[in-house]
Amino acid sequence: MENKLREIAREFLQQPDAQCFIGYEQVNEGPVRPAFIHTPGEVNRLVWNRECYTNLAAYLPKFAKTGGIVGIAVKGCDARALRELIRARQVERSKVFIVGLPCTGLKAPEGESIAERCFGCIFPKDFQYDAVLGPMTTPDFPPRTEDETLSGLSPEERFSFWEKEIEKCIGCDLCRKICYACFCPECIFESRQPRWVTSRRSLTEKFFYHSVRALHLAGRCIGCGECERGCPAGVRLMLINRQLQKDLQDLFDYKGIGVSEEPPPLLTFSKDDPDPFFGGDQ
Amino acid sequence: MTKLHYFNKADLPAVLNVLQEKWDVFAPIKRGVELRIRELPFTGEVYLGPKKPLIPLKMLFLPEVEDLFLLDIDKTGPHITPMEPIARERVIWGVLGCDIASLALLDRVFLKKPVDEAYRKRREQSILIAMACIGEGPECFCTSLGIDPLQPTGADAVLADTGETYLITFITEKGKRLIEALQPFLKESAETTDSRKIKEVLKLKYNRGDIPADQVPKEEKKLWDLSIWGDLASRCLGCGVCTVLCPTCHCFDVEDEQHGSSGKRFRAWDSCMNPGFTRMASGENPRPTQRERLRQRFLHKLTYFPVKEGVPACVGCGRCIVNCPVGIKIDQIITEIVKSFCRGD
Repeated sequence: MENKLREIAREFLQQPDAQCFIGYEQVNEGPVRPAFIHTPGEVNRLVWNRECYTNLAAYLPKFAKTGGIVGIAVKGCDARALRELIRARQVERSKVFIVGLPCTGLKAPEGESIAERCFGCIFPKDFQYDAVLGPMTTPDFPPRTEDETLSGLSPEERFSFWEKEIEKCIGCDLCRKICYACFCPECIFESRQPRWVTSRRSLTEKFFYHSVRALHLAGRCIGCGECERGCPAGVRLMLINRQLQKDLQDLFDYKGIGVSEEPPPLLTFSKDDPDPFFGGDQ
Repeated sequence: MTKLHYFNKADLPAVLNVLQEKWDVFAPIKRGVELRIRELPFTGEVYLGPKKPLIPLKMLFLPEVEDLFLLDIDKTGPHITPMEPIARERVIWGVLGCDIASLALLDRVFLKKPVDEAYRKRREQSILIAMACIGEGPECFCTSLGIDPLQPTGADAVLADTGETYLITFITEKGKRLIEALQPFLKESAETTDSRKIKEVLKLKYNRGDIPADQVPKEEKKLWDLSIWGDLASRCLGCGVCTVLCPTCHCFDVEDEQHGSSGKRFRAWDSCMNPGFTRMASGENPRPTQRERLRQRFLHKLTYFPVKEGVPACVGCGRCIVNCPVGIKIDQIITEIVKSFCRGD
């Protein structure tokens, strides 16, 4: 499959308007890392295996402004992200050459089993790839079962759980910078004028950070799990993200951001909305 | 020749309790998978071994957030109350050679005129007990930077795990002040020892001494246009986790906080990976893209600091290597720069 990927990338890079191909590489047994291939001669650097964790779609908004067509290799989760980036007009469909990687589940950090982040993954439906290495249909991932960590806890117990969890946060910004959906040119956490958030990394500030982050991602997080993989402090960010997805499902009967062409409920409106603000019943 | 002291491993909790009577005591604490330096007592297991705490030792000398003074304004005018940086002398127990070496580098920044008083006081009021480190991860390359992880320079005493006991070598006068407090537990061996004795017991398991950190050219202009900066910058997310976890990254930002007629001035760690780090009020940014920001971070450590101070600002702990989500590795960068100059690029 790697050979097929390299062939596709080589052909793509031979086009005059091709700018770059974003895939994965592995150097000297090191961790698999994102690769930016600029010439057909370099395509043999590309690899495709079960340790290709990075959601490469996160790099696209940066590239979209530089002209030329960008080739990109996407797994099912990355394709969901890419669909949302296109929907949010951060990426122009005609400016990307999308190669589908028929992922059968990433490797868990320890052992050979499927990474927990892949449980319940759904490949996007009717997504237009420009080339694929194999059929891009959802494989037989283990289903995602309800996370029991927080069930049955009283609000006070939940609060103390999150206090302990958030206390671990070292305030490094990784979860924000690794996220495909964090494409705002200036984040409220970076703005100096006005200064919305101080640099004081007290528990309160960290709570504020994580709540704002969660709410800004509500209806946009596609659940790739990159934030949790990257977090050096092991904060269980996916517990928050999955709750947001569950709420979308419960409130709007919407399953999986990026899965279908239908826009996520928080990115659209309906004249029949029950809320009077949107013209619904008074 | 130093006398050889040791105590039984089983006595460790008692040893740490005794120390807490006289000093504030800090040690690496393991809680689940998490390993951090904490002030004792702290729920969790005191960890003495070659694994590095997530946040390096700098956190106790240049805290993540530090109040500098309080300001109160009333009818009689403004009143400034400076903050006392440290209340009591402290013992920092079981830290590794890489982290201890980082303090010598920070000293060159904070103890130069104008001296950073808060840092100086914390430095003077700290007794550093090192843990002889036999090397843990493939990321370690402290020996490439002239650090001896078994007998680190700058430690007031060094602990070494011999299986049943902890050997403790008291090095400085400061370190020797612990002997009295620890008297009930210490046994003196008839033997005398020097650093070789510890090395007989403990052999370096893993450490790469072949990273040519001191061979990076000192002429920055030669390095500015290397192609690696562009390649690395396309991959770099600019998250700054490397700067937070680096024992020698020491940049901070000063901020004011106002609550009615009173306020606080504090400083907090900042990161050169953040575009706002160099953005001026006009909007102009001398480091406009990640390429310039990333280049700054590495050249500060590998060229600018060596030109000013004679040594690279890296201790080879490898925290940045392990924690970079996109596999940017300082050891590879060093090797690549040095190689490209051998080739004459």
